[in-house]
Amino acid sequence: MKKLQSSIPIIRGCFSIFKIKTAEGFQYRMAGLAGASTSIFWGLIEITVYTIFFKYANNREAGLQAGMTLRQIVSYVWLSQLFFLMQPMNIDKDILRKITSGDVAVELCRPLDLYFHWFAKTAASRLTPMFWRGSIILIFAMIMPLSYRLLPPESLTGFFFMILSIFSAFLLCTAYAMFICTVRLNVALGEGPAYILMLIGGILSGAYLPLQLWPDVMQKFLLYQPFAGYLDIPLRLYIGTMSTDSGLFAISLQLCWTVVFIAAGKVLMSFRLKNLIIQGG
Amino acid sequence: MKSLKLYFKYIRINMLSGLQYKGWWLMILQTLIVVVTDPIGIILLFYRFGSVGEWSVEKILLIYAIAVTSFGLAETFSRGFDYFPWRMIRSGDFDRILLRPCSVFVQVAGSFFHIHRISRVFGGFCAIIWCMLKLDAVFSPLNVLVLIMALIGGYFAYTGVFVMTSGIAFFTIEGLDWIYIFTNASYQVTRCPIDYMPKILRNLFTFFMPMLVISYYPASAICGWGEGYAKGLLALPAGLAFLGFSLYIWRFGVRHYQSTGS
Amino acid sequence: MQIELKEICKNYKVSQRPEGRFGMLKGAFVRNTKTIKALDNITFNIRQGELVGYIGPNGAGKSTTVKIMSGILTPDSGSCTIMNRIPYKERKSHVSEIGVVFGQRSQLWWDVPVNDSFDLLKDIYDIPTIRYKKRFDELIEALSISDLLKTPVRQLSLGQRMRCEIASALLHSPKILFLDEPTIGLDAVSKLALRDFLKNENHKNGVTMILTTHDMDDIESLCSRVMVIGHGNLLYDGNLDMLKQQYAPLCNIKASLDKKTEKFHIEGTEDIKVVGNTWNVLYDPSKIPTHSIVEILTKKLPLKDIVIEQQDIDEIIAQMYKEMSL
Repeated sequence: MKKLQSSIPIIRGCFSIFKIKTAEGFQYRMAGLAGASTSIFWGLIEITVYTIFFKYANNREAGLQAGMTLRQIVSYVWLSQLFFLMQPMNIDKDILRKITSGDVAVELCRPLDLYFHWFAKTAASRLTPMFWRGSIILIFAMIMPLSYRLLPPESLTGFFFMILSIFSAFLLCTAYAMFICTVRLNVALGEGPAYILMLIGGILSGAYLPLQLWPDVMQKFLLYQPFAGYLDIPLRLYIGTMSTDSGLFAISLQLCWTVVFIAAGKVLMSFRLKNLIIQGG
Repeated sequence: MKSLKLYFKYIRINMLSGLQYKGWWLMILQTLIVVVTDPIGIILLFYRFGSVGEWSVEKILLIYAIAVTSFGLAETFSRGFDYFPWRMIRSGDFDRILLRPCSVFVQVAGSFFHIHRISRVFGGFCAIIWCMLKLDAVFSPLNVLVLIMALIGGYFAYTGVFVMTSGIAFFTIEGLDWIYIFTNASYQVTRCPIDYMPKILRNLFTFFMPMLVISYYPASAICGWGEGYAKGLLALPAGLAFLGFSLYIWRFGVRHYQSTGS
Repeated sequence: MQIELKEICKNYKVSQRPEGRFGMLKGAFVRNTKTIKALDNITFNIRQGELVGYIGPNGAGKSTTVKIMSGILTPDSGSCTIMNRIPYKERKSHVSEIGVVFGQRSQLWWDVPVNDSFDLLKDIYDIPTIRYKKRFDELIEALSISDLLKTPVRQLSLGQRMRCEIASALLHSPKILFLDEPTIGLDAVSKLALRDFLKNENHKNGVTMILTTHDMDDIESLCSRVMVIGHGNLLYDGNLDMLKQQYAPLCNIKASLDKKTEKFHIEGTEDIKVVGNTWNVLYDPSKIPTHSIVEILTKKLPLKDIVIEQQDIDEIIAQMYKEMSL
């Protein structure tokens, strides 16, 4: 009970950080519009490429053999443009500044758990672009000409599972972003390792190519690796290439990986901070 | 000539700055991974679907690689303009540049240099050579000339994009992200086989930002896919023309800055 | 005249977020712009070798003026001639003869040793090697920075960095030096050393210096002439003593007594405050001479000690800003 009481201010503190961050994000309306236009441009190119392959490739049945129709891929592309925004693409600017300038020590003076404080910050900075940019992309995708249009979900249960899965994906992305952040705490290594980690996550998430279209021998691995939970699992549930039974399993897989990354992040962080204190910042 | 010397001095000092950090070799590795993984989608797509008509993976990759290498060159040697909107205007460092008695253009171009960006050039160039070998292209003097002209033209064209962005940044830096369409997203367009590419894309990247002029036409000329050498050699003038246009916008922006100081 | 500004005007447009509860949301769609007069008919001349303090509250137009004089900014109207050039029209030749130091920003390359920065500046300003060598030796000697030359700038303390900044701004022997809060954040010793150096440089090489600062001690110890700007208008231009007389005519005699004594009025004084065993007598020296007050006090009070104070310069400036409702 005592533990619960002491955690309330922490939650409230995290919530207010979340609120400020969101307000900040709203200011950049033009940035949202411009960002959306690039996402849409990118999406259109992707769809064009897939359409060419589905229609004119020498082995044009290969897509169907892999279990995806062109219509499903179109939906996949739009949604991946939307949810790609959740993925860690960079470390939150404020946090990065604190890390590189060595102000982490100041942060330690606040009466908040540093890990979850940053977790809230990171989560907020990922969520805000989704509102502006995301809703523009979504609206645009729904009013496109039929062959370029985002289709409604395959089934209502699939949609419901997708929503669940997106929540888990959001947590997973944030947990992984935090893990990268703690790696970045080793300032001497620069941004290299952090960036490589982000990149690996991005590639294996399905954002480059739906995981189902990757080589058949890799399919099992691709499903179990953590980054399928970024994008591919929720989108499969939406377009209906994953049954709701396996959906439940996939979502628990997402949560498992989330826990793993949070644990790894917390351990790494306390280790780094201990070093920091010994060295005297 | 003095400007060029000064430019390399700038590059040198920024390179020295970069080497002060221990992790610089990791950055090289990082960019190399980016370069290698970037076309992974299209390669896997070809792997599953096979060629599209006469368009094999090597053909597509060659065009793609020429564009990427040019982009890498611009990113390496005109990095200052790439960073300008985000790193210089806000911080007020541009004032400092105006306070020095030499070319503003040189100072901005040389204001950042990251050694690791060269790995994009390196990776891209290896891909060009590999594709040309695979496609049995002839390494005749004319072909080599066309290729070099294409890369230089491409360098100018992409530098032009950065310069234009910087010029616009004097007016607003909110919502400058769309320029991404002409930088990192632009060479993704080369993934569409040109015969199937929508007209609007083809025109946009031929007549406005000459990305296809510096990649597809030279590649076609070198490998004999039907476009002649005359078109292949257009890369350099097209790149220069685009850069000239961008410089005009840039000048306009500088003048605006001097009259508003924002 | 080395510097001539005539009827310079400059306006800025700023955008404002709508106020009220939904201001933030509304701000996403509409924005109001407002014109602000940054400079309104500024006219002044500065002779070669003058050391001028340029003061005013934040946002008064100080940095706008400096930007116009250094060629970064074009004025909306009026004329600015410096060494027979118009700064913003002949930028390159103008800036090669001026130096600018920003207290808050560095012109040195952050990650490389100071020496490398100096080397690059030599090329930027195209300084002939012989002249550079001589000037370089002079400056490292005067600023005692020879030990710092191999250290990366980011590892220098603020005081050390500032000395290097000053050196870098003077390498090309500029004829005019603009200093924007050069002593901000420095400790007492560094401040004194810096002021000495500037005074010397001004004396020896006749460098004109224009100093913007909030530190009144800088002004008091360096500048013979002060210009005060507020709301874009030049409010005062003259020497510091005149300014004091105009805005702080009163002196204060602080008399400590052996025992508490009832207050009585002294003819000609402005006010008398009694706090415990201390009397504070405020008076205007031009109306009543100091010695006559002291005389009265010695006769009538059990004096222990007596101190004559002038009003603090910071207080004067604060009062002046207040009077001009800045």
